This record gives sequence, structure tokens and C-alpha cells, in this order.
Amino acid sequence: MTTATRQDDLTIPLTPVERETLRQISTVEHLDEESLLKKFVREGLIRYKIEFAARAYARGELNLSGAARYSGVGVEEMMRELEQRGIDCGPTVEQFLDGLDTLAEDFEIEELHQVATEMRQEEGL
Amino acid sequence: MMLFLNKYGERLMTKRNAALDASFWINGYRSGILDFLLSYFTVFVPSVVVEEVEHPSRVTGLLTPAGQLFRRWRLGEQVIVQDPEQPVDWFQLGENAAIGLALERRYRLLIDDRAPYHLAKARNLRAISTADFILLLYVQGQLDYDEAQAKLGTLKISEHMKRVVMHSLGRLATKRGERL
Repeated sequence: MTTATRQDDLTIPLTPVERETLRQISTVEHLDEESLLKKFVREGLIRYKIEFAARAYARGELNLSGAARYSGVGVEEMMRELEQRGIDCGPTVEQFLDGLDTLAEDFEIEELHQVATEMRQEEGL
Repeated sequence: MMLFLNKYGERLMTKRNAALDASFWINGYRSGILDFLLSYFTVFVPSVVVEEVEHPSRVTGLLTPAGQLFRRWRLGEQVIVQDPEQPVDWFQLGENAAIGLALERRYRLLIDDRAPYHLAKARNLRAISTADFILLLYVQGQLDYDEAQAKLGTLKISEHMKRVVMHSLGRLATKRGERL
């Protein structure tokens, strides 16, 4: 249960065990308990946003830029978070083979086009 | 597109203009192929992509090595910061700043992110991934077979995709008479 006191303040009841744990961490980290709680809440919010964005990416609702922006992290960190969850954010086979055709055309390299065509047949694309 | 000629007027290399997405830079850094990029492309980067790549690590508060290299390139004007004129809707799957820039300027799109690909393709954008670029470097003789294989091996891609790119490399090597 939470109680609102001022507009942006929340009071959160803690169990005696949680209270004692907080006191111990505060001693170890050399941070007063209020600063420590703020730190935990901020980190928790970021973790939640990353998790939410990763699930949205996996469902095909966000791209990497959108996911990173929503989470407030860089794209490299977002890619790492997706990789850690086993979510593939790299190119698809079709994207890769289309890219070979583009390079074949741009730099006049017929071999790349041939390989893309052969691989499409092999992949049934 | 720029055409480079030597002193005899022979064509050396046609560079393409390309818009850079952060995903290509990150994977390009991981696989160590960025040094070759400017030989093939004049690279344009929206300022939002600059922020995405130069975002400090949440853990250390510092730039990552990929971010540090990018900043050096940007300050050295090896990449050109250029923004799309139309605003980007961040939470539309098929939109990001690099896609917007590539669409407006008819640039190639350097991107590894799979999510916006189909929508980008539907808008007639031509995209190139790091795996594609590694194969280009192989056929151009910038990388030998073992080097190309090792660089492809660093990419964080699905097992299926890894099989396809390795198989493609093998086919190219066979065509070039470098493998049976």
C-alpha cells in the first residue's frame, strides 16, 4: 500500500526486515536511506522500461531506436538487453539477401547477385 | 553518388551516399569493419543517431568504445551530420531518423535492425547490413576467407541467419576458386 503525502511524494510502508536491510545497505553504500530509496526506484523504473520496450520489440511494435528512446538508454545498450533476452534484432535472411543485391548493383559485382539468387532458391524465398 | 578517377581518367571507385543507423555502427564496430566503410560510402548521420551512439553507458557513465570511435569520426568530419526535414514518429515501427534521411535524400540505408526493414523496403529503400558489407569486403579482396568468416562469426545473429551468411561466403569462395 502506498500513501500520497505531497504531490510527488509517496510513503511506502516497509516490513521490519526490509527496514533493517535498507539500514544495512545504507551503511555499506555510505548513502543515507532516502537517497538509497530514490536510487532503487530510479533503477527499477529504468529496468521496467527496458523490459517493456524489449517485449514491445519482440512483438514487432517498436524498432531499436524507439525501444532505446523509450527506455532512456543508448542503442548499444538496448541491443545488449535484447540479446540477453534471446530476442533477435539482427537482419533477417531476406534483408541480408536484398542487401547483397544492392551491393551487386552499386559496385557492379555480379557474383553477389548470383549468390543472393542461389540462396533465395535454397531458402525457398 | 561520386565517381573517382585516377590521373589517367580510369574509374577507381564509385562511392554511394548512405544514411547510417546506429545498429549498423554498433555491429560494424563489433566486427571491426568500420575502417573500410568510407572507401565505399559517403556516410550521413542524423543528429539523433549521434545521440543514440554517443549515449553514455548506464553502468559507467562513460562513452562505450563504439561511441568513442564514432565521436572521433564525427569530430574529424569523417561522417557528415545531416537531419531529415520531416519529423520522425519514434514509436512507428517503420520510422527512424536514418530511414527518414535515406527516404528524403534517396540514400542507401546502412542498418542491421530487423524491425523496420519491411516497411523501409515497401518505401523502396535499399538497405545494407554489416553481414552484406563483410561479403563485399571479401569479394573486393579487402578480407581473405578466414578473416571474413571470423568477422561474420562476431555478429550477434540467429543460428539460421549465421548458416545463411556462412553458406553465402562459401559459395562466393567457390566461385572465386578459393574453395572447392
